[in-house]
Amino acid sequence: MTVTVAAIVVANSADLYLAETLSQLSKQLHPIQQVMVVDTASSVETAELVSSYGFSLIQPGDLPLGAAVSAGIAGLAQQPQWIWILHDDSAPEPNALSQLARAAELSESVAVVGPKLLRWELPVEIQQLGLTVTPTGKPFLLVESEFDQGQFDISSDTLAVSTAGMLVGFDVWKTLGGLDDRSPVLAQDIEFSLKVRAAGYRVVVEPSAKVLHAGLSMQGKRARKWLGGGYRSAIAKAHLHLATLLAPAILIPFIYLLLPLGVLAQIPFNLVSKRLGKSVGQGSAWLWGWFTWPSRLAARKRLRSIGSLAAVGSLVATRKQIRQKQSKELEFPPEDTKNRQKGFFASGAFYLSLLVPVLSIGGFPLGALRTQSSVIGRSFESIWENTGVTGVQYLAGVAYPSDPFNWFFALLALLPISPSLALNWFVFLSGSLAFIAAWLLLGQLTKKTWLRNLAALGFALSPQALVLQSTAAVVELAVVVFTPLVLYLLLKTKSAFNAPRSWRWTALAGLAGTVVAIANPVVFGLIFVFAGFIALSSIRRAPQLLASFIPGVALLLPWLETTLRLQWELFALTSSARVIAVDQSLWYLIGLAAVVVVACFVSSATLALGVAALVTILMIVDRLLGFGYAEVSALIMLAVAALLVAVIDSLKRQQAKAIAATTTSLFVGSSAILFGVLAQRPIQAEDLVAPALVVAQADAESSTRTLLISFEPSLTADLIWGDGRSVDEESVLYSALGAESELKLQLANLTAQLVAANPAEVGALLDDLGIDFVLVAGNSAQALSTKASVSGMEFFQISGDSQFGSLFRVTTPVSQPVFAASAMFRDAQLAILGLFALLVIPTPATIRGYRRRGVR
Amino acid sequence: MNALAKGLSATVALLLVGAAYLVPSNQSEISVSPDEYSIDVNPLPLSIACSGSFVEVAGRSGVEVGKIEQVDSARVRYQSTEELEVPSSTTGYLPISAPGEEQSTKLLSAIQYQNVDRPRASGLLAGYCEQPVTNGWFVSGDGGAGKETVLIAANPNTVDTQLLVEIHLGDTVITERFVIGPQREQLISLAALVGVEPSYAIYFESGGAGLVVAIQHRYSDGLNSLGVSLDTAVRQADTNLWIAPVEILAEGYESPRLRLFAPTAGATVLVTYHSSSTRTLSQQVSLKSGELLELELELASGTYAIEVESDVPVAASVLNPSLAPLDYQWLSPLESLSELYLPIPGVPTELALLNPTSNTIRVTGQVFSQAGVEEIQLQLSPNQIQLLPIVGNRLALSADLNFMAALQLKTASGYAVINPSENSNPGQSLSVLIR
Repeated sequence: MTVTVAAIVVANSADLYLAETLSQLSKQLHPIQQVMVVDTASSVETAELVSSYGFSLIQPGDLPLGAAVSAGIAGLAQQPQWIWILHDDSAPEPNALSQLARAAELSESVAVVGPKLLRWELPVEIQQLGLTVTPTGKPFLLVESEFDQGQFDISSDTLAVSTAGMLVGFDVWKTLGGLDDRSPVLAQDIEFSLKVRAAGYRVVVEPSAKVLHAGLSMQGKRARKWLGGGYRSAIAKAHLHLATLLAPAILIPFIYLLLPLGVLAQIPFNLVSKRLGKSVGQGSAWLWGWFTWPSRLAARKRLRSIGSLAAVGSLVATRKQIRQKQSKELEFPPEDTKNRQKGFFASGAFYLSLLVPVLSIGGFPLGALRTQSSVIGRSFESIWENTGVTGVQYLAGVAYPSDPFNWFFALLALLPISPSLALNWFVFLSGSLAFIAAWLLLGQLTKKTWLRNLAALGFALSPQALVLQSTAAVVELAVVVFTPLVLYLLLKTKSAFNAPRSWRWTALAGLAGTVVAIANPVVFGLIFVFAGFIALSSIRRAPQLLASFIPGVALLLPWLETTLRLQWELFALTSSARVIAVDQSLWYLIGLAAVVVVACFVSSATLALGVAALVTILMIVDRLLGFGYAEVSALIMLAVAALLVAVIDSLKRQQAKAIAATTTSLFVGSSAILFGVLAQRPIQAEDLVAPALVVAQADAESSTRTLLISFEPSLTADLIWGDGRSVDEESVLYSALGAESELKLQLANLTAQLVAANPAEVGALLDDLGIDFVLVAGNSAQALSTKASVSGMEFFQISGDSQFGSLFRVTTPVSQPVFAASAMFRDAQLAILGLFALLVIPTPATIRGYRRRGVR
Repeated sequence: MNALAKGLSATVALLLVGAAYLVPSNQSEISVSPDEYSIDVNPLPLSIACSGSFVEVAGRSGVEVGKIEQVDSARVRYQSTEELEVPSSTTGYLPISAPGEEQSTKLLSAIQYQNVDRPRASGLLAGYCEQPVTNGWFVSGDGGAGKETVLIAANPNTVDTQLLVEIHLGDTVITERFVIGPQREQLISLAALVGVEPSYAIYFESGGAGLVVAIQHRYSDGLNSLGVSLDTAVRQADTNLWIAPVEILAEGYESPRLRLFAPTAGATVLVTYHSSSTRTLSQQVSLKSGELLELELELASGTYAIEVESDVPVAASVLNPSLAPLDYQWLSPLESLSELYLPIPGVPTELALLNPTSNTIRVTGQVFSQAGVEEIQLQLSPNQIQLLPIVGNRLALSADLNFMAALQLKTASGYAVINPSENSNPGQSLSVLIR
């Protein structure tokens, strides 16, 4: 007996998918009583397409899936025994219906038969072979993304099948009421199958019936309202809905009450797995669930009223099946090792990176560098007090944001050594780090190992980079090291194999970019421009590329808000540790101009113009701001190195290559000797910025205050907090803008009294100001006279001389000043950094991407 | 891409790179000036001290080893707006104090002078009674045969203090420490410290309150005395020094000698000799760090003001010999003043006025004597020095710009120069910068 079948095609648009679907329907070997196309978009094109095949058409308006199918059934001329539901993106093979019909005929208990869904673009890969749910009710595909080698070609019972290609008994459909549009779209097919099961029928999947399925809904190619939101949201809603249907009644209140906790607990896992949208979807599903819980319970009641679900348990996905599916995510095709770019070790880059610090072995880190910018707080806690806070340690505390670059100091302070020693190590290794960063970046321009190594060395050993190292210019070195790294990571973000891997590159770029942002916002802005350009060439990666700037912007925001309000130019000056350097940029610009011209003729003019434009913007902004960024010349050298790689790589004559390479090598060698080996380096010593006695007291009592009196060039007083003013405790804003405070007059009075040797008000002022020590700096006649004055007063005890001056301890009890900086933004900034750190953690998807040749 | 497009690209790129450098560079000043407060504090009473009379080493005959003492007495003259009781002569150091909020030489200033006529020493000793200081330089250390240098250090305070003395001998520095009790004086013969070293610089520093420090020289040839000198002007090393009046008093006998010392770093020094009677001369010399350089000044007769300009702070002094009368005087750098009140010694005296500025200045003043008040009014062109004979008890000078002044004394027994400085304690209008 041949079963009678009517096909219902729910179409949403007249495109190539629908044309192919209708074409394939017209080729079916099994007779179809009537093909009814339900056009929910009511388009003329669909009507013309359908009429060209002679199929029936109704245009009932914009209906959801269940209603659309019902409308199609209502429009049938004759009642069939079975109806075959197809989406507009599901094209069946010619024998698909005959195989489904055969399966339907085998047993009277079979009410629903589903086909094997194959990927539209890759028909050898199985997209879906029956549906089920996990023990918690989440929709689960038993077979997914498997090559179809016939290994699953056994007709079997399944919990559910997709509506795409579903053959369902007409009577059963009518009896059970079809798809329930009140349920989430992605739960409707499973819910319907559950009803079929509850009614005592079977749901089977017939692998010999093949339907190509594009899965436009899953790929987000349909209007969002089709799914009732994004895919993540739709799947989360389906999960909650099915959990309500299947869970024991006693658990349902707990499920809904614990929903928020579940959503929050999932956030870290979703970040680690680079599925950021999942948390958003889960959050919206939680709200949806809380506002529509009566509907879920009503659906449960309707399902349960049909019959028992006892038999369903055996069809739910087992833990073994779930684990197997997860492990398959790590599988990857064998890669071709031919023509592969040499890695960090195989290329010899590792050994070159070790060679770079050898050139500056005279600066081997043994202690703190004694320069103006190289002594930071003596502990992480000390530096953390001045990181990301509003309130700098001057006078009684001034409500300015601390210098953004203090975040970098705090990062170094996490190392298990003295923070200043860690900073010294950073300076010492900066050459190696710059080499590695440049090596990674230049690898994007050439496959030639020798050229990559040579150009990276040219950058790391350029005169300006070495000068910055020998002068311990920490902020500038941070820019020099991290800028090429960020550029590399952004390029990797763009070219990543898959989204999870792209997100991982994004996170790395975001964290590295943060260092650039807090060291030099202008360079950070230029990197943003660069990212904008590469986003234009890869729109699908634009969200990741833009997201990589979030941490940097987050750390700069309080700074920007304040500087734009007070003196906008200061936004670009984020650290008190910046050094003043002689402007050598002319020589680098001349070099760049020469390479740019050559590159225009022998290599890529676009690259040359782009590089020239970026350098020009950087130079102009630098000159207009007038801060004299010392790292600009080094960054120009990076541009020169990149263009040199492009030029030499393009040269066809070996002789020309040899001349260019030899010239570059000579330059690198000369620079390394003159500015590396022969450079004079800062002395190293203890990380103290105040006399040891002050430090010891500050360790015991954080409210310690020292009045520093100096006479160079004129009588100056400064109130120093705690264990001295290290560079992280200095403030760009206070240095540039100063601040009003009543303390200033008191300090001036006290200083004048001490200098004049008049003790009349000294005791009271010491108490009011909470001063524990007086430090008189210098050996000028005035300084010595003041020392004599102070030593003769009853309030002081002579406490010795040091490199900082003569110290006098206040012997009378003084009040303890209290000040707490506001860290209101820091927690949010930390949270953002934490989120990006979670994104960095490798996951199966990123590892799978890594093992793909050429598209890492 | 054809050659034209490549050429166009190269041109645009070159223009971009060129434009980058041609943009005028701003120099942003990111450091705000500290707030300045002018504070008035009651200053301590103004205290000065005279170093006392001639110090004789090894007794009258010169054979009493270890003996060092002040002999005879020095005449003391002072002027003050307060009623003070000050002895007219002293042997040991003499502290003088005057209370007052407005402090300057008007409140208190004093000088001392003494005709020395001993078997082994003769000449005129004169000096200004200075405020105690905590540190300073002398570059006039002399040693060897016929040269004797004595450091006189007095502690006018109520607590003892430690005096650090550094003898700078080129590459070597000899350091000695002396504890000086309260209101005590220490006479230190430097010969014991430096041996036969012909010349050296001396740095001293008090470990506590300020001291009154002076340096005395005695020159002789065998048993014949050639002269004595007292230098009470303690000065800091500086980049611009003026030494005056350098009057050529021993032409054909012995030339003045300029001694230069670079205490902190190598220096390039320009020495200019200003004189109204001859053209201005100059010479440039270089000193290594710690080097003591002596220049013999072959100058025509006249009165000179010697300007010392250096790229780093240096110390300087001039040893000026006198033939008739036979004597020596070490001249230290002068201090810049806006007004000056000074007693006048009771010996033939000339007032030396110097204009160290590049503008013409007008100096006015009065010389007070028993006979009445004599007005002084004169104009000094830039870098001009002028000597005026004065007779009286005291003088008062002021000018529209800063000037320098000294008293040159010439008697039958000797020649000396008194080099005054401002007297004041910090207190009034103290300018304090608060960071």
